[in-house]
Amino acid sequence: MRRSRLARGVARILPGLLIQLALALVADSSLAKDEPTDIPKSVLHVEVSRARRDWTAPWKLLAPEDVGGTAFVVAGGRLLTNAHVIRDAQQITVKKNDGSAPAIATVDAVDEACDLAVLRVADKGFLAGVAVLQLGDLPAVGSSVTIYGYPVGGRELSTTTGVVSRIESQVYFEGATTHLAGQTDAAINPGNSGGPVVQGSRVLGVAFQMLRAGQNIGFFIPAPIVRHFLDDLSDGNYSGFPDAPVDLLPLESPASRRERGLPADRSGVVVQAMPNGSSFQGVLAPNDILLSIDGERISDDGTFASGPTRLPLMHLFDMKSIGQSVHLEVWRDGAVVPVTWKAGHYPPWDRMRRARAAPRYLVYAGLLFVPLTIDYLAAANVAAERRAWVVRAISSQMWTPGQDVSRELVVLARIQRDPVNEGISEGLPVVVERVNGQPFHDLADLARILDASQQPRDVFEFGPPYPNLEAVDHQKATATRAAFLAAHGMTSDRNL
Amino acid sequence: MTATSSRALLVAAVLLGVLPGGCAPAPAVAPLGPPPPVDVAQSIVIVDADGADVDMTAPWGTGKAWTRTLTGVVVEGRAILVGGWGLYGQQHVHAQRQGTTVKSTARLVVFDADCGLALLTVDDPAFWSGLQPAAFASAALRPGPARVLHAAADGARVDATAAAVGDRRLSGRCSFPEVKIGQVDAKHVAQSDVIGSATQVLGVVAGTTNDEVLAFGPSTLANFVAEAKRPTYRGVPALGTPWQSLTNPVLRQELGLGPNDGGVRIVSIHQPGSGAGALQVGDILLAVDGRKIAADGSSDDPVLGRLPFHAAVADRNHPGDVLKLDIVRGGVRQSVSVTLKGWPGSSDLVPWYRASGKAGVYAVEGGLVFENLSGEYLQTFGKDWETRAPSRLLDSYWNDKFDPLPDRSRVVVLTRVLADPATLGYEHVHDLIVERINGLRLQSLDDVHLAFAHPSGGFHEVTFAPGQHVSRIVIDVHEASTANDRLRATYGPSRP
Repeated sequence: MRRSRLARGVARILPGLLIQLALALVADSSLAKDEPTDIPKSVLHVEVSRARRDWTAPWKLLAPEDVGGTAFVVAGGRLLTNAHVIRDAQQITVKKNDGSAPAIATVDAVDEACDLAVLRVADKGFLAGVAVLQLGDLPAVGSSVTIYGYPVGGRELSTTTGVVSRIESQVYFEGATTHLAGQTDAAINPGNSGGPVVQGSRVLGVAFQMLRAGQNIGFFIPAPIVRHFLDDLSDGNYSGFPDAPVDLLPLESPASRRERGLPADRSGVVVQAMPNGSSFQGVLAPNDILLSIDGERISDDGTFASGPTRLPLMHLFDMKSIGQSVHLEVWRDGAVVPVTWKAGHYPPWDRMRRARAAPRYLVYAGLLFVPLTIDYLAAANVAAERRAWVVRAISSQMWTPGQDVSRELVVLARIQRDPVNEGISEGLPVVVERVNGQPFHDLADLARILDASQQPRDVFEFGPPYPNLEAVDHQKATATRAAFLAAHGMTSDRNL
Repeated sequence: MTATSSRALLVAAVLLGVLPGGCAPAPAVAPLGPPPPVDVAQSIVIVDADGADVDMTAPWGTGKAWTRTLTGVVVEGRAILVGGWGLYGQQHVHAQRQGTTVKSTARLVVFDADCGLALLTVDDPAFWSGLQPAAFASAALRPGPARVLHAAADGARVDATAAAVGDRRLSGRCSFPEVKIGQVDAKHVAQSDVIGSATQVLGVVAGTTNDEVLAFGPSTLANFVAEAKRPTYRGVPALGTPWQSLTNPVLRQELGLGPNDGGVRIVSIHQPGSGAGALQVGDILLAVDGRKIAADGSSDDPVLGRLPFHAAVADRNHPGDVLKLDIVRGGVRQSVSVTLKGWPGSSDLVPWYRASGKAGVYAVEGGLVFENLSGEYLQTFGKDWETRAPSRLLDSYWNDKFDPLPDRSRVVVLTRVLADPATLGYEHVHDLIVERINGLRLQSLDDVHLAFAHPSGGFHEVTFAPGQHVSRIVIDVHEASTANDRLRATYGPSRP
């Protein structure tokens, strides 16, 4: 995984390299003291009965399976765990480390982007006497940490120790995005997900994934990311992490520095390009050198100093709130120019993340339409050339001048064979451009057009490179809908 | 889709509707009188080739040297027909008659790297003394028993294995149709093995997979030999008009077609194909030279039976042939004519093969290594190159592959950066599609040196196509010049 520290987020995920760890951690709610001995009591075992969706047939629930993870007690009688631990959960139970009976937990809040979730137990007495674990800050690289959790290999709480090996940007597998992550050599295994990474009496992170190919390379979500998540929740209106859709290149080439005329006492990174609809459009310009972010000076390698450690500058953007104004300094035309960036979501990435929660779909005359997502591409095992067409559609929306990034791309994912669609050819063309001559904004809009259609035949036009046409008899499709759903075991023709 | 040694080509060929020609009678090679029937096995010769691969990641060096033994079949006109890609990268070829130890130097008359077919000759008249050319079957090819003839390297003998001609007809590489050969273990069959009846050539093996043997049929081979004997080989004719089938009755209604009209809908026009200028996207193609096309795109061939129509066109026609196409355009039935032309893969924007087939082709300037994007380069990313190669390169390969533009005949890639003081800071820059160098838009690799000869100011500026994480780098003109001296001493001169 050779990638620039400054690489952009969503589209560059390499599934398969990382595996999630279910890790559970319980914290005791009254903790003011520094005794690590109290911590085990606050680390809970999470048991989840989950039923995943089949992304290639999203009306279907796959066979239920049991997965385990870890959670720990945080303020407000809540339990913190990983989003992926409770994903697709039908039922969640949490069990304390004291032999008492498990309790049923419900999901209070979840953000797949940072792979965190907050659970709650209805019985207010359940956490009585259990200390709330307090969040600390970023651990120092090289310092020792202890990880609590319920990994595979046994039933009791497991404790492992190690050192913080690195802190840098990592792909968050669950969120298909990148944030700061800590790396440790403390053993982290499936079941550890959601467990606290502790130093002294403070939680410095939440274990969440490991590198499959490595040995003792485990990752934890560091405290600043956890705090951003919890703080954002505190006003009851969660808005999430901002996106930074801009390509930046380290200024490590002396030639590049000379060419930009940057004085020796300045440092920064070179702005490359911004996609359509980026919040940096009109703020940064190609070939600007980004010198500072809210007063934090950026070095030529794209990092900034955070105490004794250097962190990737993307972390500075990441720590902002949606809507927050951020002061940047850039080197432009031989002078320092102040500009203001307003933190926000980038629609194509935001859509992709939101689509992860549960597959959305529309079945019409046996044609399955789904929004274009990484999950669909991964699950459907799409052939290489077809995948390339789809990737082109995504990249064209982002990079071809004048494209509307707010439009959701929808693909014809498969055909559920039925007399109503007899003869429609197998070579699926993928991206749907228009229906009945009309462009549409998203999957729901497509459904509206079809529902309201007065045409004898509904005609679908597909996008490049092969603009195929397909047509469906509207009346037949409508008249046979109920029978079709029954015949194929679908409870609904849509989840929009 | 059949996976073969050259799956990409096969996919490409399927996507390209090859052209069509109707059915001009197969050009007959006119012998003076009917030759007496000869056992095909007597016409088999052993072909030995020495050659070397090229390491596309270090194109200045030479790759692994190899020696291969291939099966050749003697055909009319002192020529030897060899199938497959065994001669790709050959440096020297010998031919040897069965039962002898004499190796005669053979000369490549034509090697069609798109199809994997070659015609050789031997200049020494003694080689031909008493050798009888084999005849190609000209009657309809029916499923039934056959022999696989294989020239064994040791002792110069020919092994015969029982097999059967199958009934499957596919559109394969370079749009030539392929015949499936059954009842034989594919592991015991090699590219270029000859499929024979007692006295006639029924096919030559084009490729094998774990469980399938695919061969070019007799009409295809006779047609290739006739073309290859011309003073200039013009390649395989192709319409270059991908199409969709019209088996959906509702779509047929929408398009105003009767249920028995047959026909396919043209969905794209590749500019280098023969159909450009005659056909348009949206045309319904009903017949080629009077031969009807069914709604699934198949048409009848007198030798090979039911074939995808574009394969029939490639099989029976030559560049220069004029075909009448019956179409429906804008609801009006009409005829258009096309003059077929060859469409060699080397004219693709992203060819599969290096143009020369021998040496690596590259340019080094100031420590930056540039190469034309090719299928071969993408394959350096390993067995899983279709998923592991950089997505922007795959995007170009799959989406832009066929169509050169007036100002772009190749896709130039900065493949790597050689370590040198001139390239300091760019160590991680690689595999980026180049758009301009010093303001000059690159038509192909040939323009790289020209562009570097005209820097503006003290820096060479390389800009990359949008949608990659780096858009622009600069290197110092003076440093680049000294780097060239240093690096050319180490790596040798460029070979554009």
